[in-house]
Amino acid sequence: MGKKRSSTTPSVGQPASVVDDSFAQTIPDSFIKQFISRPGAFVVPSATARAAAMEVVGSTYNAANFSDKFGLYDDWNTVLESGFDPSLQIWELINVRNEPVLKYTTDIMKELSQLIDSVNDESDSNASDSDEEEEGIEGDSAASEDEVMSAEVSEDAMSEEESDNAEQLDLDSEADSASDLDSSNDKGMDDDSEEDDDEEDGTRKPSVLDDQFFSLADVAKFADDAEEEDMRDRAILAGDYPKPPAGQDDEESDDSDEDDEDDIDMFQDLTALDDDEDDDSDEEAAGAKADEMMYTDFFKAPRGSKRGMARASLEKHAKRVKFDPNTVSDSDASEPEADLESEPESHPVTRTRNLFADDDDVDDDNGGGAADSKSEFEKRQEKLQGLITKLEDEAVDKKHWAMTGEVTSAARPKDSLLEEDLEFEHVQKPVPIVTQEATQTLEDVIKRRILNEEWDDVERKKDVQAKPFRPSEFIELNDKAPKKSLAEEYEDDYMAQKAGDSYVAEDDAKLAVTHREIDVQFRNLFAQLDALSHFHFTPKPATADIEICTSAPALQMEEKLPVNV
Amino acid sequence: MASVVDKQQQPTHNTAMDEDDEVLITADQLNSVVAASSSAAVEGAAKSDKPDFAPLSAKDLQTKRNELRRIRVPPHRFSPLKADWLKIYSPIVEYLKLQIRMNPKTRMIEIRACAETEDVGAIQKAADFVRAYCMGFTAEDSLALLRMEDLFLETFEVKDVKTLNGDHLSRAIGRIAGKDGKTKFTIENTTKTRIVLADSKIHILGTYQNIKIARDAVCNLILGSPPGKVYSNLRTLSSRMKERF
Repeated sequence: MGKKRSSTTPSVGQPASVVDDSFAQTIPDSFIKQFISRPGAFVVPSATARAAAMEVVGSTYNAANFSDKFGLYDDWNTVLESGFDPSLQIWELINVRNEPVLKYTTDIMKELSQLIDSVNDESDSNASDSDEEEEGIEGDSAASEDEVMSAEVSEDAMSEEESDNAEQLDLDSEADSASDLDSSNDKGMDDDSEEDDDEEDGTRKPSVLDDQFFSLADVAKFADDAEEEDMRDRAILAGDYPKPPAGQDDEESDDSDEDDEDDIDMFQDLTALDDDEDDDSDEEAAGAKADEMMYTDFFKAPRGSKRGMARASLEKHAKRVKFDPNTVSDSDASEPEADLESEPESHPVTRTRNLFADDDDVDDDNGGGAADSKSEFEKRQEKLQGLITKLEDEAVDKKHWAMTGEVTSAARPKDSLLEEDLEFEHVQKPVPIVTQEATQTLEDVIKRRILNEEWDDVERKKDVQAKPFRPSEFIELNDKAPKKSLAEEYEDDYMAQKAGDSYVAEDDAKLAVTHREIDVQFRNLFAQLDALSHFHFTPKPATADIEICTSAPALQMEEKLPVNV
Repeated sequence: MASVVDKQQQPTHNTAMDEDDEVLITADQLNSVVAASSSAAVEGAAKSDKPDFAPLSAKDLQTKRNELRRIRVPPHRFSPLKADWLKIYSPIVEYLKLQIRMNPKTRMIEIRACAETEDVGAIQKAADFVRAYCMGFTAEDSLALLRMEDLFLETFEVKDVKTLNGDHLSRAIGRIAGKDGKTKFTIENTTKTRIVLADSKIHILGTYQNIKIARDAVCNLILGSPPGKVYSNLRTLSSRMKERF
């Protein structure tokens, strides 16, 4: 790309040396050292970085502007001398100038990005060459970049506060034309993020609730984003799959290849696909399904098209929403494919949940079935199916030996009976095992029983039915010859009636005497028997006996010596 | 059986009685008044052919003091009478103050009231006593008649209850007696009566109620009820009787 070097031709009103100087001074070394060598400097937007970047941009733009590529200075001069209001003139001039510049720069940028890839693959020893080339390409790159920059700058100009500053900035950006592509790209990204931040800063409205940690505008934005995502998800669930995004954004040129791969062809039949990692295979597969090919699968949407913008926003959001974090390696993608091929009928409906996941993930989803991509019904059905297959296998299998009826020892595995719970009818009573515990409890029971006198004596059963009152049964009929004569009987009755209870008939009296004698005899007998049988000695019951004691001194009583002799 | 005639107690027979007669207003004096009135009435009327009896006095109205009763002794009781004569005549002569003698030729016991007899119904009692003995009761049992007034004698025959012939009769008598006299004794002990079984005749000595019970029992036995049944009935009855008293 040496044609760029011919920019030394001075434009109208500008000496060539100025141009050379301008190109040379486009990117100061400090800038390179500070920002380009350390891309991390752009992570946090800082005013110094912004200022430096703007300066570089300005210088490159100027450099690009003063090249004779765009022979429009005649118009420039006409506009200048038209006599319009200078402030309005400026806007017109800028527009006139920027449009072709932007167009050119975008084309150049694309070419340059490809070049850079190739350059990076080569050894770093060619860095100087690449630098030179990059410098040579500066003009184009600057031009292409300036287009972008100017677009952004114009946006900025709208939003910025003073038109003078904007003019100054625009002039600076036009002046600067040379720039490193990487740096420009980085700058672009940085500017993007910076400008996004600026945009966000601009849209933030201060509220009463805001303080150090809380911002109401942020919350509202978050809620709106969430709502949008929810609506999108609902649409997807309902079956309203959005068309694959048509175009691609210029900003994410790094991801252009990846975007191509991210392109989900909803209407593609994956069962017929082979390994589609590369674009070539994509093209082959697409060639196979010629009817389903779309322009957007292969080409980006035209610049400024609505579809492209929509796609950009979608992808932006999609980057945030990643349902399927499974980033399965490429090698695994083949397996589900094989499975799918073996069971072509198992998935007649290829439903995708995560529209914005990678193709690998999509394939894996369709083949293996990630858990959270399936509906409840599907899960249940799967479970049931599993159960059914299990039962079927059981039914078809050979029976467990215990279920086959009478089994001899040869028919069952060794020692298998030990694991079975067998029931026997025991003929003998189980022998009671004498343990310490058992004896302790038994002794305790015995002690308690003795203390409480809870004996297990057999109690005589009493007839519950009440005996009928039969006084006649109480009377004993005397069938012996009457001993008393009739006269005596009546006499006894009369005497008993007269005397009351004290009267005792003679015979009864005799009977009572005999009774007393018998009583005494019995008592003696039982006393002797009790003395023999009682554990503790019980002495004879004390009876009143009359003892004759003489009050003579014992010595006298006992003496037997004949005193008086 | 006491004599229905007045039971006026008479004082002991002695000479004082004549003196008392003069003091006491006897019926003679009353009769004399009545006789006087009646004689006047009679005299008024014309003398007729009818015999004219003077109205009886109270004393005359009384039954003969020296009443005589004769009781025939059946031959089977003759020798027991000889053995129990002491027991028989002693209470009669001592307590009832009657005169009693046995006529062996006519086989009759004669009881006569004398002047010492106090009780008007004594001779009746004595007669009953002797009669009971002659029926077959023992002297001790018959003595109850002398002591108690409400003892009676009942006699009936088997054929009165049921006409039984030959063996049936024998069986009936056997049923009444029972083994070793068990049934008879049971009835006697339960009902406080004395029963004498003399072939077909049945004599019962006791109070009126008891006689009734004994009679019913004996009749049931004659009619053929088993002794056990009679026993149970007796038992029930005796329990009721005991409850009552």
